[in-house]
Amino acid sequence: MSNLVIGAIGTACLFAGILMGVNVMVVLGLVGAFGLAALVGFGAATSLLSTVFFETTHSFHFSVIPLFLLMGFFAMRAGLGEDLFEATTKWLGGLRGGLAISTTMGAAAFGAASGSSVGTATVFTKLALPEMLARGYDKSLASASIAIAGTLAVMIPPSALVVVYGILTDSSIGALLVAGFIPGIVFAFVLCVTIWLVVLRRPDLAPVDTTQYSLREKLLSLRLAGPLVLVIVCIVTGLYAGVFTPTEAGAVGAALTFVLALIRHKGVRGIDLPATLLETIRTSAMIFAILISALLFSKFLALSGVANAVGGFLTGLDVAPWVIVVLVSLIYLSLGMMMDAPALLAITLPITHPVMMDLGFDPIWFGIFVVLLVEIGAVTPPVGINCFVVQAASDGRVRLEDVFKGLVPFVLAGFAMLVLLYLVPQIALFLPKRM
Amino acid sequence: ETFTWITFKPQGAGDAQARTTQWLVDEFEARTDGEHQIELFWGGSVAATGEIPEALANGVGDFGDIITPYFPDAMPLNNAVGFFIPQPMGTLEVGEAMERWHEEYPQFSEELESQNLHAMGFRPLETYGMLCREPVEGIGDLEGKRIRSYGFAYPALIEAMGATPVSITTADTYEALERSVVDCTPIGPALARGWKYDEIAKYYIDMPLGASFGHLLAMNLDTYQGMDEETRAVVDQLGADYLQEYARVLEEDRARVLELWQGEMGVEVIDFPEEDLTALVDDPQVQAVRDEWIAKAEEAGLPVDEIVSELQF
Amino acid sequence: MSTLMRVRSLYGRFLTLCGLFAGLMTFAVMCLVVTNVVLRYLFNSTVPGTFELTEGALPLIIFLSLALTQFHGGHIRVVVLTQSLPVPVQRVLGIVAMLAGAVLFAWAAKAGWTAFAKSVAINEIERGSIRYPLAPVRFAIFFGMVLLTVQFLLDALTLALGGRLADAHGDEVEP
Ligand code: NA
Ligand code: NA
Repeated sequence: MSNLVIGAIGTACLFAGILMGVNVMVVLGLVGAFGLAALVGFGAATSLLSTVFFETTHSFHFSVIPLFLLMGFFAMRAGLGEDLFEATTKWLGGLRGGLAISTTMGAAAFGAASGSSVGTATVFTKLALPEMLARGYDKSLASASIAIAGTLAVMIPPSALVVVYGILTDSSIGALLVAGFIPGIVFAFVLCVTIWLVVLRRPDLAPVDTTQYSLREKLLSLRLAGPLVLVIVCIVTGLYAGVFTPTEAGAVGAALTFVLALIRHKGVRGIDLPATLLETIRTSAMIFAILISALLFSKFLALSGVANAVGGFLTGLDVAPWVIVVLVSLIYLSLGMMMDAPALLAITLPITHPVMMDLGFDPIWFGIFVVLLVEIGAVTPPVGINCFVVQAASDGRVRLEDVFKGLVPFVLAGFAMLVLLYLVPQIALFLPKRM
Repeated sequence: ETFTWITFKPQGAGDAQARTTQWLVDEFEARTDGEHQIELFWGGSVAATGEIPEALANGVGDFGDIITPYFPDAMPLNNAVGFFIPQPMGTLEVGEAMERWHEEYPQFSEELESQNLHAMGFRPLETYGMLCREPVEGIGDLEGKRIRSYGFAYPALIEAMGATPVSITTADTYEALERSVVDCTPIGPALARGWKYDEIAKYYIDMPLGASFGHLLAMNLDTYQGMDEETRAVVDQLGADYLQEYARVLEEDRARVLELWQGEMGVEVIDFPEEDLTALVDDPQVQAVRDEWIAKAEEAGLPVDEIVSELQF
Repeated sequence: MSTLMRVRSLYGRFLTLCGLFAGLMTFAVMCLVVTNVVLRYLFNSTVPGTFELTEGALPLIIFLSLALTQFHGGHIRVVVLTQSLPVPVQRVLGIVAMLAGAVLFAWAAKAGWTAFAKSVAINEIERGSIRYPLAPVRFAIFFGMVLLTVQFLLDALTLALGGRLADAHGDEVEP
């Protein structure tokens, strides 16, 4: 049997296993490990099993994940979610879908502090989801708007994924980071419009708060949103003033929200530290289990040659540039269904980047374009890490299917954003060209 | 037959390491008259840096590059150079020293064979200096500076400089330099250009830290021993030729970067008094790192003095 | 059945203890990193080993929590297709799923033991501004895999004997 056939069979098994209800991490790991055994033998597969768990977790860089989770849980204990809700309903509550829209804007603001799509999705699940559900929002709309809003953190600097692109393709990291700023804000705006359109068509998905508030009440409510704004301001200032690195921002954010929770409860007792810590580590374990088993599967897919075969096919085509762009997008969207972002970039960029450069596209522009593609992949089934995170952090309030179902309009919004980026590349290139 | 090469290096990096890896693979096919080929798996897609020795030993791949300093305990002898920072040899000298040591002292290859590995070639890194945000004219200017540190030799050396070692990830270093979380990082011109650090740190201090080692171009031992004599001869010769080709390409890269620095990049290269650095070797902490290697080498029955003398100024 | 439930619940308590330890380590890492940031910024000094200790703590945090997450049914599954199937079929699929998990992590545990044994044999050390042996970290990974394998087996057994497992985030297991 040829390696490509093994790769194809493995991919089919992955989908079958997931649909049969086996834990996603078990399917990814099992197909990956047995697939590797089929390609290079059991001893070889075992050797990767003996290294991948240590290699992936023995990392300072990844410590940001549990710490951002901890930040989210502390923020919840500090009541930042309720406060944000108080403030935003008073200002935007009259608007249908107002809370989902303000959550999106909040996540964009938070994205200027967080480099992690997954972390941001977690924080805002903790902050906004219970409030939206309590106000009668549709489960799918509420959870999906958070899952997609998390991706804004990767577009808006700082962003670990953009740095990965810069390294893999030898492009200017500084220019890339700056380039993501406007597209991030534009995408946030596109998402808000999408929410507005969705609830325009289906008003029952998001009830309007009919209470009228005076200007005085509205202004006073800003005081409530203050602590969250303060946390964001502290982190952004700290990053830009060089007090700490993006990786350290996770710990700083967690500590700041811990202090806020201490103040809120006038002591450590009200925070219920053991429960908070247990929630944090259980969600961390879930995320890392998926991350690592996705890596095992990526290794298998790479070694089977499936990834390389796709690239070879692309370079052989003789068609108009936009067709290649569409094909490249389809590759990312289909592989993005199954793989996590860094692995996806590592496998595909060596193939797609030269093709795009040959066609005369700007490397900085392509970086932003690819990051958007990969982030759309983070919310598409069956392996949509942001959806997993939202579901896991929702304390059973939503099911995975609810999240995926609600994402249809937002994935369409993502496509619209891709088209916009293609037609108006200046969105990404305006700032870096002025550096 | 088609062999596989697993590397952490992304193809798109386009640096001397990536280009010469491709060169080696092409040469292998040409020199075996197309009878054998190597399929390259780039970018750590099959095995990450920390996984490559195990993966190679167990046959996940046939060839691969091992970043030796990541494995000081598993392959201490082959890490000799890593324990001796600073040391006087440049890229080519370090590579040739490794070749010579492997020829003269069986302990070097035995260490790898016991892990089912074979070294077909050696790839030292470029000669390092220090890239800083501010000019540094001598050791006194380093007092209190925050310097990026990693691995097992730099923390001691940086402390001996009177500076503060700051451990940060490679991915964070660009931003850390930009925002003054660190003031300097040890690096060479080609690599500084590769990571874009020279966009934000504009002073390259020509501190003779030496070329560190580096990467073993390693093979699965069974694959190597299973080759017919003719193919094995091609591999052996190719390993030797690789070092020369790599050193040549790297030197070109460095020259190009230095020219770029003089021109549009505006990075100033500043001389550093060599004796300011060599004096630090006597620091007890720096010496302790060296003694650690010496103890391991003596245990393996190596004539330590001969090797150490090459690594001293 | 009731014996199995008692064993499962006792085991869960042990896993919670492991989880609390992991949680406290997370909190400690937070304190450590923040202290390091403050010292570096204000006093141009550092807490030696912040980087290395954080690196070493993360595997412990993750692998001491894996089994607890499974105990609470917290690992992601897609049930959209299976939930409409007849209950006996669901049960069989559930048992297969749990056994699949046990197979994967038993394999991983075996591999983890090899890595641990090698780490001991070569006296593997984390080197940086501080030093410590890495074997305990390797052992925690192996140990976490064993805990998870046992949990998968307990869950398979529970299903086989007609019990129901915790839904994600529901803590109770009913016979
Ligand atoms: Na961000
Ligand atoms: Na996906």
